[in-house]
Amino acid sequence: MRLRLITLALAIVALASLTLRAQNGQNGYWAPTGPTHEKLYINSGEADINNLTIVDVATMKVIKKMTTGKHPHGVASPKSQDVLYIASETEGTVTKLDTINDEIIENYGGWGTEPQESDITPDGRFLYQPSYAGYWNVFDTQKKEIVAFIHTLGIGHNTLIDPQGHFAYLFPIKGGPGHWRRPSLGLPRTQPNEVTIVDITKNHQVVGTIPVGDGPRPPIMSADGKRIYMDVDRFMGFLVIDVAARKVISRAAFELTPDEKAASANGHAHGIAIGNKGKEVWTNDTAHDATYVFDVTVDPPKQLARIPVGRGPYWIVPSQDGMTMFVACPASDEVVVLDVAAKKEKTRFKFPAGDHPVRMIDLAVPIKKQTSTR
Amino acid sequence: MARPGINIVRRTFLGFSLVLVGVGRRALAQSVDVSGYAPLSRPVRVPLDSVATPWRTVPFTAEATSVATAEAPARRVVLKGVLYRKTMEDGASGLSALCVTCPHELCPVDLVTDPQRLARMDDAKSPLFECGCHFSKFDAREDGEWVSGVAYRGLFRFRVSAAGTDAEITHIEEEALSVV
Repeated sequence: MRLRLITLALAIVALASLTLRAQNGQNGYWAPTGPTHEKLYINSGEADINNLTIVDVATMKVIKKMTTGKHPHGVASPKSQDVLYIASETEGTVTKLDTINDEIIENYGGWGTEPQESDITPDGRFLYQPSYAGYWNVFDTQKKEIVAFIHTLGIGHNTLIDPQGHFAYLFPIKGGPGHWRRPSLGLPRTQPNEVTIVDITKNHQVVGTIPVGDGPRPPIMSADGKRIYMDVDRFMGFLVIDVAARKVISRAAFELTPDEKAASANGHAHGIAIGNKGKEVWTNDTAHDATYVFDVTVDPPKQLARIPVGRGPYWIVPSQDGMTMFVACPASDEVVVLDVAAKKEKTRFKFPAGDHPVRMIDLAVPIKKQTSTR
Repeated sequence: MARPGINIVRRTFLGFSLVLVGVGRRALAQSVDVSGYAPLSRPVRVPLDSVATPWRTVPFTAEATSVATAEAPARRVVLKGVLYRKTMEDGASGLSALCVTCPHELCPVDLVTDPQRLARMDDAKSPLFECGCHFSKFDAREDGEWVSGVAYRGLFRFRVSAAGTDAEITHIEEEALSVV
């Protein structure tokens, strides 16, 4: 009887852990180990000052504004969630932030052209920082130096590291004439329609690719590491990837009217998140100012809702419990807060005109200082 | 084995078909005029009164058909646009109609007229359109010409003229039909 109870308790703990992992930020999967303070970090793309807004999620109040490098693009935090790395596109720097005190610790340079959307291993050791110039820098946070460069055929853009810290998935965008107008940047003109897989444990070696049919766009991984859901060029919807098989297994298309289809035939979704205990994928329709919800417990995923948001929704992250979604709408300078259960708007944060909030991450920051990954 | 008479009929039919296809393609190609503009499916009319105030944008929706290429069949394209009255440095004014979908990644662009915001945009002296996603900027006075950012070109232009008490929008830059 006692053994049965212990087994049951262990099973509940394991299940809770998995569930919470599914509900963390865009790049995180982590259940906190002690008391935490949930905070949402919002980067404003065009603000000269106060381009980082920190929101207390419990009260939905802004608690601090800070200034980091201009045009912040990448955000990544390890399992400990006591530090946050923010890449500045135009300054070519990465700012390391102490999230307990919300203070800048250090700035790093030398990333190459326009650092983009990064991710970090769960232990905080290796930051995978893409450069627009087509490669990823692997930054050893202990040695404070770049220990590897990984080249793909496309422009370095989005990154995903699995919950075990075993594989990194690199998502180069295809780019185009607009990106190439600055030849001095040396941007690659090859336009791969694939995701590059790197084995972190084998000295950051490329071990495979996943063809996705068009230019990769923002991805997210399920908590169990079995699925990647990703946006892709020229598709109003998202792809489902079987991680073990390394292939696309289904395509989930938005339900659009004929007029909407005719207005966005070459468009794509942008920003993707997992919510509601891993059962739903939420992704944005920039062309029609909406966020879509899909049931991913079935294959192909089934559309559950279409929620009007602000203009040009471009990024989305869930709260720690996965029951709130934050949608950044840079064109109307606001972040719309959505109730996952009700599929309705709860509130919205308005930003100064022209600040253009985009990238965000929701963190469960330890309240008391604990063993850090720094 | 087919009979000779049937073969002649087949060849004649095939020949006529090829001629018809050729004529059809040529007629379709001619629907795009030499200046690189394609006709809208039907003109869009906007009362001139509504654009009497300079820099006030009036949104409209237009429709056109793309030309078939080797890569893609012809398709119906719906375009979001704005009509506005611009004023030049010398005080002259004119109408401009632009597609408000950024050519870079098809995000919405908005007209910025607030002097304080313009001052933040590399000290711009006249109104600009700005893309909300990647912040490319386009000169509203110069009919959406590219100013800065990752967009590979300026905003797509509509052809607009005054027709009585209305502004009549009749054509769109052909390239828009393969991008949007």
